[in-house]
Formats: sequence, structure tokens, C-alpha cells
Amino acid sequence: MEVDSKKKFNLEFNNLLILYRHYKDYSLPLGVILACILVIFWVVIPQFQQYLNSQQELKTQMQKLEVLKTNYNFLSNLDSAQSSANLTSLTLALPSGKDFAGMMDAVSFASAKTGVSVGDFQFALGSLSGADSTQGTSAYPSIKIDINLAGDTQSIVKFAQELYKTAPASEITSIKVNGGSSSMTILFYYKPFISQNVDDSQPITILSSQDQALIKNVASWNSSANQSQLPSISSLLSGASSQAGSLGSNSSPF
Amino acid sequence: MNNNINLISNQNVGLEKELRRLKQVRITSIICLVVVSLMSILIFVLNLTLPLDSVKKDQNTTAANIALLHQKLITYNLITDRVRNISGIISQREDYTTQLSQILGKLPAGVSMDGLQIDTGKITFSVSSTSLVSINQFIDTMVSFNSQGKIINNLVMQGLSLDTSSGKYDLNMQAGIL
Repeated sequence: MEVDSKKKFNLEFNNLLILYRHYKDYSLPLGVILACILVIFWVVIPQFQQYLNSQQELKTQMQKLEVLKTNYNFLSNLDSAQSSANLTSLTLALPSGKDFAGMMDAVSFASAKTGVSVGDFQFALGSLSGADSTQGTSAYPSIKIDINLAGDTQSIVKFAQELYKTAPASEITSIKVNGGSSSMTILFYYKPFISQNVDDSQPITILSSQDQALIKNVASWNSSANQSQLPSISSLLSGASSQAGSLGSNSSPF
Repeated sequence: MNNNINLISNQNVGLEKELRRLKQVRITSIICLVVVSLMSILIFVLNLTLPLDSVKKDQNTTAANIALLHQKLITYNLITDRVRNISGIISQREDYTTQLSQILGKLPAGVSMDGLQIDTGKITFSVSSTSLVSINQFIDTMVSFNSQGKIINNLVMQGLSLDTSSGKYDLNMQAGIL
């Protein structure tokens, strides 16, 4: 049996040898074709895909570069002094925190300009831990102040008009006039600055003409920056701490 | 005739056929080799000619330049933030002063506004005058405002009374402010 199997094996080996000798000349070209197919699948197609990806990436990078260049040109042409002035007036109009001095200045300025005398007033400071306090349905944090005024209806309306043109931004939620005395509830708004994550690749949003008009308008508001004729902030704060004022006819209400 | 006698060998025809096939295979392999080589070189060159590196270099240069202007960028971002918020506040806050000015501007001579209350979009006011004609004129004006629907709506006359001691007519009205 063993002899038979050996013989069979030898026969098969011989057959293979014959076949090899017969097709020996085909081996090289077939090997080349096989290698070519392998190269196509392993090298050419991946390289082509990489080319397509690179082209896509190039497009993205070109857009990014375009944004960077636009940003750079915009920032280069930005007037630093004007920007600082705008930011100052805008921050006065909407302080980043509870600006009591600004509020006092605003009331004082409106009072002095309209001849309305300021009497008792009361702050609703809200949380002193720094948490924002929003009043009513407003999405913006604010400080509520109830204030008593002395003046006729015309003067009270003028006072309200003047307060709306005075920094910091405020909203009058209620007015009560009864004879010569009045009371008013005012919300003074503030908003903390957002944390600045500078990302150069983000396109800079250019302010619209409406925004530019708003900046000009806010810059023309009455603010503590142009109220040199008014009492000093410290004196106003001492008046505020007393939580009381007189209904006299002097120009300074506190 | 004996079939074994054949001057043309069958083996030669088969050999020629095989040589032709071998030649075809060799030509195919050479074509494959050339095509694959050309494709590889072409793609290599294409990949090499993409200016990705120079674009990235430009980006780095521009980013470095912008880094010098970060202060300006932050200032500008803060301005944008303030503008957006102030715009929101101005658009949402109630401003009754225009309506009040118009109402006060239409007060006839001899009529005075003694009381006024504005709260949550409602206005209540009381006027007084010694002349009933003037009071009537004021009522007409308010009714006109109400019908126009520009300043006030839902006008309600709460009362008209006479104070005999002072000889004044008192009118109380309530309306919604638009």
C-alpha cells in the first residue's frame, strides 16, 4: 500500500513538473498582469482617492485662507480709536454688571434736564452673588428701581423720554401720576460680557447699516461720560445709601 | 492510403498557436505594465502638484498676522455683542412716551390731566376742567384715537363727575396702549 501511494505521489509531481515546463513561458507575463491588478487595487485606486480627498481638502483650505485674508484685511482697516470709543459708549449703554453709579447718573441727568425732582427711591438689587436677575418676561438681567418724582404730567413724560435717551439702557414699566406727585418703576438693564474664544477661521460678522446707526444713536445718548455738570458719582451714591431724598426744586435730586 | 503518412506535422500547428497565445499574453502584460506605470506616475504627479502645502503656509502666515490684531478682534466682537443686546432691549422694551405725548398734546385749553397710571399696557387717566365743552372735546379726541387704532384701543369711560365745591368736571378713562 505504501509503495502505491509513493508511486501516485511521484506521478502527480511528475505531472506538475510537466505542466510547469509546458507553461513556464506564461508565468512571467501572467505574474506581471497579476502584479498590475494588485498595484491597481492597492496603489492606484487609493492614490486616486487620496487625490480626490486632497482636492476637497484644498478647496476647504482655500476657503479658510480666503476667510483669514478677509478677516485680516477687515481688522487691518479697523480704526482702533473708533472701536474703543464705540465699545465705551456701548458699555455705558449696556453695562456688563450692576452699574449703580450709572443708574444714579441717568436718573440725575434726566431729572436735571426736565426739572423733575426725585424723591424716595428703592432698589431691588436681586442676588448679590453675581447671578443674573431677570425681571418679568425680559431675557436680559436688570435692576428694578421704584422712584418717586415731583412734577406735572408733562414733566414726567419728558423725564421718561429723557431717560430713554440716557445710558444705561432702561425700561419704564409703570408710571403713576397723582396730582403733583408721581412714582415710576424703572428697569436698568445690564448684560455680562460673553467669554471670548478667538477663532481666526470664523468669518467676522460685519455690522449692518442698522447696527452702525444704533451705535451712532447710542453714542449720542446722555451718559456719565458727558455729564460733567452733574453731581459726582460718589455724592450720588451717598444719596442712594440714605434711601431717601427730598422733593425740592433743586436741579440735583439727591 | 496509409493515414500515418503525413508530411505536414499537426504538432507544428499547435505549437504556432501556442506561440501566438504566448505572444498575446506577453503583449497584454506589457500593456498592463505600461498603463499601470503611467497611471501611477500621473496620479503621483497630480498629488504632487496640488498646492496644499503652499496654501497651509499662506494660512499660517495670515493667522500669524491676525494674531497681532487679536486685541482689535476682541474689541470688535464685544462691540457686536453689545450692539446685538442693546438692539434686543430697545426692540422689546415698552415705550409709552410717544403715546403719552400725543394724548397730552391733544388736551384742549382749560383741561388738565390730574392723574395718570400706566401699567402692563393699560393707561388710566383722569382729566378735569370747568368747561364741559372742553371735556367733550377731549372725549372726542380720545374716541378718534380709539377708532384709528394707532395710539389706544378698548377705550372705556369710567366716570364723569362734578365737584360742586371747585366747579370742576372730572373725567376718568381707561384704555389699552398700542
